[in-house]
Formats: sequence, structure tokens, C-alpha cells
Amino acid sequence: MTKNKVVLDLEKINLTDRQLHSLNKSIHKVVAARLKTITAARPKKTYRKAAYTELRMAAAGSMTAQLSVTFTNTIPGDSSLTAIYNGESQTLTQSGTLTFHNVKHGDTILVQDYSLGDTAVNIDISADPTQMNFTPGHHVDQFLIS
Amino acid sequence: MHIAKAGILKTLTITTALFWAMKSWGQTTGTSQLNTLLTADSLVSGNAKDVLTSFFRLSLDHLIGDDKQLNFASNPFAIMLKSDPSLAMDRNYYKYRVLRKINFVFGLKLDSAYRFNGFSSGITYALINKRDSSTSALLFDSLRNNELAKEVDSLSIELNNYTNTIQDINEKKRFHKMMHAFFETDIPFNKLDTTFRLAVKKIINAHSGYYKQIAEMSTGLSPYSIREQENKMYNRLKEGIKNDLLWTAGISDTAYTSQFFFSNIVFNTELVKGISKPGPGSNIEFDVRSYLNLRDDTLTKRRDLQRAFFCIDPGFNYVLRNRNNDQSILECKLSGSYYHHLGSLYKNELRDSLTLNATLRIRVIGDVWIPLEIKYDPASGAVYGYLDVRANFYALGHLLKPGK
Repeated sequence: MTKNKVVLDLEKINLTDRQLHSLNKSIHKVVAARLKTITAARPKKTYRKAAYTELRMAAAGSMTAQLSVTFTNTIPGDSSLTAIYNGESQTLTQSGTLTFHNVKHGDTILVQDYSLGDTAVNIDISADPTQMNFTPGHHVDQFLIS
Repeated sequence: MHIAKAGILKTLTITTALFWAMKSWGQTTGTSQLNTLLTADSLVSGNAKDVLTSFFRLSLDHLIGDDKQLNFASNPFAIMLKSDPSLAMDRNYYKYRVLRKINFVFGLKLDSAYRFNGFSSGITYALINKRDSSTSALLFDSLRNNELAKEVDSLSIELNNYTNTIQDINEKKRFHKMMHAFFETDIPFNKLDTTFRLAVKKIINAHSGYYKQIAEMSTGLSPYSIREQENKMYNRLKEGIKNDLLWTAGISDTAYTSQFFFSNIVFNTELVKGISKPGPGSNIEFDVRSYLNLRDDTLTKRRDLQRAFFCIDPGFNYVLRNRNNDQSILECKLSGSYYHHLGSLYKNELRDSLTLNATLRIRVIGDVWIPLEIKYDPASGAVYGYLDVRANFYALGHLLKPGK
């Protein structure tokens, strides 16, 4: 790398190849050690892609909504919860989470639940309601993102 | 236990009075529970609960007689759930499926003067339990393919799309609240906001061929609520499995008072299956129980289990249900028992014998049952009577469920 190159003018001093090699090696060693300390002290300029995307989306008024779904008093497979946002539909047949990106204020997420047990749905962003509880059977409700 | 006929008449009088008292109670309370979602357990017959309890059952058996017994039956999963509600989560519910199918029982035997007369214990496993509405694949399939549920899903998508077209945020919030009231509360449709009602009617009229059930409800004279209709629909679907097979196998024993030696070991199996068309009012169950009993030979001084007899007891259980909430309020079981001694006989003892049995089971209050059992031996003409009290504490378990 050109910017880290050191040029020494030795004028009339003649060095053998071995001496020249030794001098280069010493300089390289000192400079490398110094550069290492500078690099370690300075924080890395790293950008987490996801965080950046979130920032960009928040600025545009959209966010990521995560729905945590817990089915109780039944076995996996005897429940089915579908959440629909902006035409995108996601389904769970056992306890888990559903994620929707680019969710905007004032939008709604529709929830359709079929279960032989009880169902609890929580949303991690500001919404009305923030939690839904369903008894066994079929249920339909809606989150309004606030 | 043999009791005098006057004693039987007395107990019959008490139980008949209790029955009429409870019948009137069932009719009055049933109406107020019309719209509530009934749990599967509340619809199970008392006879089936005696075969396999879902939570705790406390019983005082043979109240009249000299071999009274105080029994406590429970389910290990229900006890674990009490200390750790996370076990109710679906993955854990499946993981502990074996424990959910087990019942254990501990008993304290008492003599006529209520003195301690030995211990008893037992374990029962449900080999097949198709009546469990929390794990029935048939029930889930019926729910998923239900026409009303499909119509409600489709209507909810249309209304959700309509919500998102509303620009004014306050209007949108009001519509969102109406959506919740329409689908999740018992508020009748005609009591909802006019704008919302017009939007629903517009969607239904645009696809009248598809929303058959909802259109039928909306054109009816009486006000309707989607939630109420869906609860009724789910209760009807559950009726479809209440006649399904329940088959259990188990072992029980009785220990002596002085030392912990077994005086009696019973290997038993029981099968219950509904045979009449499920519906409101009443139904009939076929119930067959058989057991092999190994007991001490009292002619010898040593304690052993040399005496053995086999019994099979098939019968029919008539279940009278409250038409409003479908809960069993009275049951009458008629059965015949055949006994066969496998080993040596005592003097004047018959190798084979028969009895005719009748059990009247009355739901006294909540989950407390009083079964009165009468046995008649045609050979000797003797009449035997047993009066028990059994309390199933499912309500406790229901309260412990998360989110309640």
C-alpha cells in the first residue's frame, strides 16, 4: 500500500544486500507494531445492515412487527394461526413468532385463529391491542398499529 | 355390602330428592350459561369421569357399610402443571402425553366405626382416549373445514381491507373497535355502529352466494352475534367426539393394616363408547369393565394371593343432559356381572355367579356426583347397595391455566 511506504535516502552509505534487508525488516516491524496500536484504539466504522435498514425504515414511518404466538392446552398441529398484513399471509401451526417488515402506522394486521387449546398473541410494537387471548375454537381479530 | 331393604329405600329417597333439587338447579342455571363456551370436561359423563379423571377426584365410597373407603385420584400432569404453568404450552403438552394419560389413586380404608382398615393404591392408563377435545385430530379437522368459520375468515379479510382504505385515523380506530365487537364479543349485530353495519351488509350482498350462513343470520328476525354463533358451532362439533372410544387399563392393590403386604391385587380394563346419535337431551353409552382379582386365601394362616376370580361387567349407561348447556345431570347404568372363580372354592361357594346391577348417578353441584349402586343376586335373592360421593375438581385445574 503506497501510503504506508517509507522511503529512506541513504546518500553515500553503501549497504550490502543483507544489511539492506535487515534494515527494511526492522522498519517494517516498528511500523507494523505502531499501526496495530492505532487500529486497535480507533473504533471500527462498521454498519450493521439490519440496523441501518431499520433506521431507514423508521425515517420513512415503517417498522418491523413481530407477533409471538403461544398455544396452550393442546398439541402442535392442532392449532393454526394466520396473520395477514398488506396482502402477505403467514401461518403457524405451533407456538412461535411471525415477522412482518415495512409495517406502517395506522395499518392493521388481521389475525385468524383455529385451535383446540388456548391462544395468546403478543405484538412487540405499539398497537391496539398489544395482546390477544383466544379460547378454544375459531377467532378473528385485528391489531391496529399506533 | 349387604344392607337392609329399608336402608336402600332410605338412600333412594335421599337421592331422588337430590335429583329433583339438582334437576331444577340445572334448568335455571343452564339458561344463564347459554352463551358461554363449555369445556369438554364439563360435558363428559360422570361414568366416563369415574373411568378417567382429568384433574383431581375425591371420593368417599361405600358410605353405608363396614368397608368405607376415602379415595383420592389425580393425574400427574395436572399436579406438575400446578407448579409449572409453562407445561401447558403445546410442545410440552405433547412431550408429557404419557403422563396426561395416567391416573393414580390412593385410598384409605375404614371400617364401620371409621377406624383405619388398610391402604389402597392404583394406577390407570388410557390406552385410547378419543374423547379428549384438546388433542382430537377429528375435531380439529372439523373446525378447520367448518363453513361458518370459512365465511367469517373471508368476511374478516374484506373488512380488514376496508379498514385500510379509511384515511381518517379516528374513523379507522372506530371501525377497528367495531371489528373487534363484531367478531369477538356477544354484542348483537343490530347494536353495532351504522357505518360498520352498512359496510358488512354491502360485502354480504356483493357475495350473497358465498356468505350463506351469515346472510341467513342477518336476515333472521332475532339479533345475532358472530361470537355466539361460533361458540355454538364449536360446542356442536365437540358433541361429535363425546361418543368416541375411551379404553383404560390399570392395576390396583390393597394393603393390610398391620404390615405393607398386599391383601388384594386387581388387574382391570374398562371400555366406554357412546352408541346413540350425539345430540342435546340424552345419550347412551356402552360400558364394559373386566378385572382379575387376586386375593388372600383366608383359610390358610399365611398371607398369600392364592384366591383368584375373574369378572366381566357389561352394561349401558343412559345419560340425561341439560338441553341448554349439554351437561350431564343424571345417569342410570344397567349392567350384569359374571364372576368366575379360577382356583379352589370355599365350602358352598359357586364357581360361576351372576348379578344384575343398577347405578344411579346424580350431579349434585358443580362436579360433585353421588352414585348409588344396587346389585341383585338372582341365585340367592340378596340385594346389595353402595352409596358413594365423588367430587371432580377440574375447575381448579382450569383456573391454573395460563391466561386465566
